[in-house]
Amino acid sequence: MREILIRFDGVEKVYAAGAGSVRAVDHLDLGILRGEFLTLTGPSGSGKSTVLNLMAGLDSPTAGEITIDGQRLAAMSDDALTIFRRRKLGIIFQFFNLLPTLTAAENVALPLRADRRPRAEIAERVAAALGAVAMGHRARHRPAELSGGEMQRVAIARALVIDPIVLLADEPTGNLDSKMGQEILELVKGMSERTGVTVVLVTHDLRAAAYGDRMITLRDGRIIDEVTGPRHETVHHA
Amino acid sequence: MRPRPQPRSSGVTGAPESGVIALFFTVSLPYLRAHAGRILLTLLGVIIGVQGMVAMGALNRSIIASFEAGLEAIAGDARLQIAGAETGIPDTLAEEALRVPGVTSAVAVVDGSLTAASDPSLRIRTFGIDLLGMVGTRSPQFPREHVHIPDELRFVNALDSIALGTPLLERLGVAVGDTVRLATPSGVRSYVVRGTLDDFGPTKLYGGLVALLDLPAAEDVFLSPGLAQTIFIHGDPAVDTDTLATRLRTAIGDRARVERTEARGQQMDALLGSIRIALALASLVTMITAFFIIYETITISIEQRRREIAVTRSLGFTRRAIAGVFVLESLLLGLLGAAGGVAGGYLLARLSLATAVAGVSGMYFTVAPGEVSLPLRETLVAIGLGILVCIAAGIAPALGAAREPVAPVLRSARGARTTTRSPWSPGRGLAAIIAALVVFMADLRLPTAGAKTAWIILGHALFLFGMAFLAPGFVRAASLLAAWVGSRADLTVSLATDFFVRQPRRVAAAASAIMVGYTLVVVLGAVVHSINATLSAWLYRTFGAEISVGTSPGLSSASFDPGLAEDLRRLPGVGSVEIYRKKLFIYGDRPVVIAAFDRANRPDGNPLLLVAAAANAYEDAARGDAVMVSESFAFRYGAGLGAALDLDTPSGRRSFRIVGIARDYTMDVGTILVDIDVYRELWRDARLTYAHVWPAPGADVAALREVVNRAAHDDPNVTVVTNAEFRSEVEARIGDLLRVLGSLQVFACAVAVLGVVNFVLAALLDRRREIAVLRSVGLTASELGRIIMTEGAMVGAVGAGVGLIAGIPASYFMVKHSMLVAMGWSLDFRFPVVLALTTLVAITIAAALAAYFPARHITRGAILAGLEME
Repeated sequence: MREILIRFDGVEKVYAAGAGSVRAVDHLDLGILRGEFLTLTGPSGSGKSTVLNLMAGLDSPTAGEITIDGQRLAAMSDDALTIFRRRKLGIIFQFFNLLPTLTAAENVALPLRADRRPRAEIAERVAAALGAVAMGHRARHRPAELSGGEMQRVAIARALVIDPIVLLADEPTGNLDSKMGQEILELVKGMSERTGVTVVLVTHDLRAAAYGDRMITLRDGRIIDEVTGPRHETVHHA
Repeated sequence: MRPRPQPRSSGVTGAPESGVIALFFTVSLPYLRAHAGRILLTLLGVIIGVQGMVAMGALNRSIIASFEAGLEAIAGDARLQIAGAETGIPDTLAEEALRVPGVTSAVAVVDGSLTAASDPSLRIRTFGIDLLGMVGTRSPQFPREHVHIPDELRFVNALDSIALGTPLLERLGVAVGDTVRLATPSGVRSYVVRGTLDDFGPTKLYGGLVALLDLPAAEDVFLSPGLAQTIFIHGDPAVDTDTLATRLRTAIGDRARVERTEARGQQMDALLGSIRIALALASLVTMITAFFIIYETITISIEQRRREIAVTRSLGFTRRAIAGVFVLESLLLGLLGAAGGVAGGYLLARLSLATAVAGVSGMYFTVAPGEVSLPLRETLVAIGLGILVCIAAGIAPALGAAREPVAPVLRSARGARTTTRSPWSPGRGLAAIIAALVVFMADLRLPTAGAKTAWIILGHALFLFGMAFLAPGFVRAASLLAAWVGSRADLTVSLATDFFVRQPRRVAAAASAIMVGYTLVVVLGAVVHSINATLSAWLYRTFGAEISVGTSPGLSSASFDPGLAEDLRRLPGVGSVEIYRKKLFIYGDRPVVIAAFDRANRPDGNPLLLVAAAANAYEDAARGDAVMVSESFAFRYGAGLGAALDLDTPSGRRSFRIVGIARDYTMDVGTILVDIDVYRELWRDARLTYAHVWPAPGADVAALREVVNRAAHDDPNVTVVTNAEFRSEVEARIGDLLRVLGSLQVFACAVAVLGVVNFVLAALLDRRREIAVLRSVGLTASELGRIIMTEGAMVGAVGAGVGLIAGIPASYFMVKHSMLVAMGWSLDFRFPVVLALTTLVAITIAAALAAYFPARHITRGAILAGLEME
C-alpha cells in the first residue's frame, strides 16, 4: 500500500475582499498518495488553484496543516520553503512563466543553478529533461521563438529537471489549443507512469481531468465529489 | 431667413489644452501618486542643482553688497573719488581738488584694520579722517553729532588719540581716558581713548568694532605721512558727474586716478571672479546630473505607461496631447524642484555666509558680516535654468511617447518594445565632443568673469553631454563583457548580467547621471593635484630660504617696517636677507598685484620662476626701465615679452618694457614684478611683506631661528617660519583641499545612489512577474536580493567607468584650458589616479547598497501577486 505523500488537515484559506472576506478553501481534508495522478476540477472560484498554490508553498493557509513528504510546510522559514520547493516540487503554470531573455536550456537549468549543482550535472540533466519533452533540438531558442506548446514543454522540462517528488500543474493546457493541450496531457501522463512522480493537476476541463487516477471536484472550497480510476487505491482519511 | 449656423462639435475640433489637462488628471496624477517615492528622489536632483546656483548667487551678492555697503558708509553720497596706487596718494590733492569749480568738499580718508594686542582675533576697522579740516564742515562718514570728542584740539594734536565705537569700548573694557594697546602694521602702539562713536554709518555697519584716528595719525600707521588712500569728492548737483571728473583729471594729471565711487566695488567684484567661476562650474555639474536623473525618470515612467498611452491614443487623444502631458509632468517637476532649490539655496547661503565672509576678509578685503539676500536676477536665472533642465530632459521622451505605435502595443501582453528613434546617438555625441574641442582650443581672452564662466561652462557642458550621448555605446560594450562573464559565472552574476544587458537605454540614463558626478570628482581632483604640483614648485622657489619672516598670506595682510630686515642682517649666522613686497595695484581699472623682488640678496640670483625672459632681464629690471609679469598677467592683458607697460606710480606715470614672464600664483588677477629698489624709489614704499633669511655657510639653523624669533618678537604682525614648517603648512593646506575632495566623493556617491535607486525601483516593478517566477522555481529572497544588488553595482561601475573615460580628457581640459581662461594660470597636468580608483570603487559599492532596500522590498513581496500579474 502506498503512503500518503501530501496531506491537508482542516486547511482553510480566507481572503479579505473589500468589506468582507472570501473563503477560498473551507476545512479541507485531503490525502494524496505517492505516485498518484490527482486532478482537481471545479467551476471558476471553486478554490482549486488556491489548493495548488497552498501545496506549492506559494501561499499559506489561514488555518490547518499541510504536510508534504512528512514535512510540515508551516514549520519552514521562507528560505527553507523555497529550497524545499526547488528540490522537491516541480510547478507548471498556465502562462508558462519562462524568462524571456534566457534560452530554453537556460530556463530549464534555473532550479539546478539555484541549487548550485555542478556544471556537468546541470548540462546532463537539462539535456535529459529537454529530450524527455522532445525539445532537445530547440535548446538554444528563446521563448519568443517557440510556440505555446513548445513553451509549455520547456516549462514541463524545467519542472522535471530536479526529479521532483511532486509535479504541480495549474491549468497547463489553458493557454493552448486542443491538439497541443492533448499532447501536453499525454506528456504529463507519460512522465507520471514512467517515473512514478506524484502529479496534481488543476483543470476546469473534464477531458483533461479524466487523465488522472482520481478526480476531485471542488465547489466553494470544499470537496463535493470524488471519482477514482482503475489504478486508484483507497485513501483513508483520518 | 437664413439657417443659424450649427455649432461645431467639440469632438471634431478637439481642444488640445483640455486633452492635456484631462490626460494629466487621468494618467499622470495617479502614476505620480503611486510612485511618489521615486518622484521625490528625482526632485532631489533638481533641488540640489537649483540650490547650488541660488546659494552661489546669494553668497556672492551678499559679500559684494556688504563690501559696497562699507564703501557707501565711507564714501557717503560722494559721486567721485581720487585714488591711486595702494601705497597711497598725496593728501594735498584734497586741497587742489577743492579749488576745482563744482567741487563742494574733498575728504581724504585712510582706512585699514588694527587688532587688539591682547586679542589678535579682534579686528578693528580703522578710519583716518582730517578732523581738523572738518571743523565747521559736515563729514558724511562721521557726522559731528555722532562723534563725541570732549577735547577736539587735544585729540588732533596728539598722534596717540583714538575714538572707539561704544560696543568696542565694552569689548575692550575701557572708557574715555584709558589707554589701549593695538597691533598696527608698524608694531604695537598705545592709544589714549579720547572720543566715542555712536552706532551710525561705518560704526553701525561694522558692528561697532570701529576706531577713528585723525588723518595724520592714520597715515603714519597705514601708509606714510602725507599719503592718503582715497579722497572722496562731493560736487555741486548742478554740475554733472562726468564734467566734474574731467575737470579733476585736468587739475590732477597723472598723479592719481579720478573715478566714480562704484568703481571700487567693481574692482573688488573682479577679485572674486575665479571663486565665482569655480562655484558656477560646481552648480553646472549638479544641473547636468539633475538633467540625467530627470531624463531617466521620465523615460522609465513613459515605458511603464506604454499601454495606457496606447489606450488613450485609441480613444482619441492626439499625439500633441500625449507629448504635452509629459512635458507638463516635466514642468511640474521643474517648478517643485526650483521652489525647493530656492528655499534650500537660501538656507545654504545663510549657513555658509559666516565662513565665506571670514575667508574673503582673510584673503582679499575686509567685509562686514551682512544679511543674506536672494538677488532677484540670479535667483530667477537659477529657477529658470532648473525648469529648463527639467523640460529639456522630458522633451525627447515626451515626443517619443507621442510617436509610439498604437496597435502593436495593444496587441502585446506587455507592450511592444518601442521602435522610435532614440535621442541617444553616437553621431550627436561625437558632434558635441568635437564642438567642445573647438571651444577648448579657441584662444580667447575674455574680459569679465561672467564671459569666462559662460565659455568654460559651454565647453564642459558640450563635452559631458557628448559623453552622455555616447553612453549607450559604452553600456553595450559593457553588456558584451558582462554577458561573457555571466555565461561563465554563477547564477547570481549570470542573472544580474542578464537583467543588466536587457535595457541599455535605461542603464545609459542612470549611468550618465553617475558619470557626471564621478567626472566632477576626478576633474576637481586633477585641478588640486595639478595646482599642488605646479604651485609647490613656485612656492618652494619663492620661499626657498631657511627662515622666512612675514605677514599672513592674502592681499589684506599687513606689512612690516623695513628696519626689521636691517636688524635681521646684523644677526650672527645670517648670510643675507632677501626682502619682498606685494600690494594690490589698479592697472587699467582692474586689480592686479604688484610685487617687488630682491635679486641682489638672493644667493642664487634667481628669485623668480621665469618661463620666458629676454637676455639680461634682471639687469634691465634693476635699471628701472623694465619689469617682469606673471603668466596670468601676460595672458589676461595680451602682454608678451617686449611689450610696453605704462604704470601710474606715486612718482608719476612711468613706462616699462616687459623683459620676463614668470610663474606667479600670488593671485589669479596677474602680477607685475618689479625690482625692489626700483619699487621703493617709484612707489615710495619701503615697507615689507616678507624677509627671507639665508644662513651663512655652516650656520646652525635652529639657533638662527631662535635669534630671528627674538628679533621679530615685538611685531605681532609678523611670524617666523622655517622652510620645513612652511612646507608642512603648504602640505596641510593641500590636505585641506584634498579633504574637500573627500566630501565631493560623498556627493558623487549620493548621485550614484539616486540614479541607481531610481533605476532599480523602476526595473523591479517591471520585473515583478519574473521575480515571482524565480521565487517559485526556487530562488530565495536573499539570493534574489544579491542578484539585484549585483546589477546595481554593475550600473554604478559602468557609470563610474564611463566617468573615468570622460574624466581623463575633461580634467586635462580643465587644467590646461579652463584654469588658463579663468585664472590665467598655466599648470602642469597631474591626474589623480588613486582618487579616481577609490571613487570608482566607492560608487560601485554605493550603487550596490542603493539597490538593497528596493530589492528587499520587492523580493519579499507575495509571490502569487507577481505570478498573477499580466
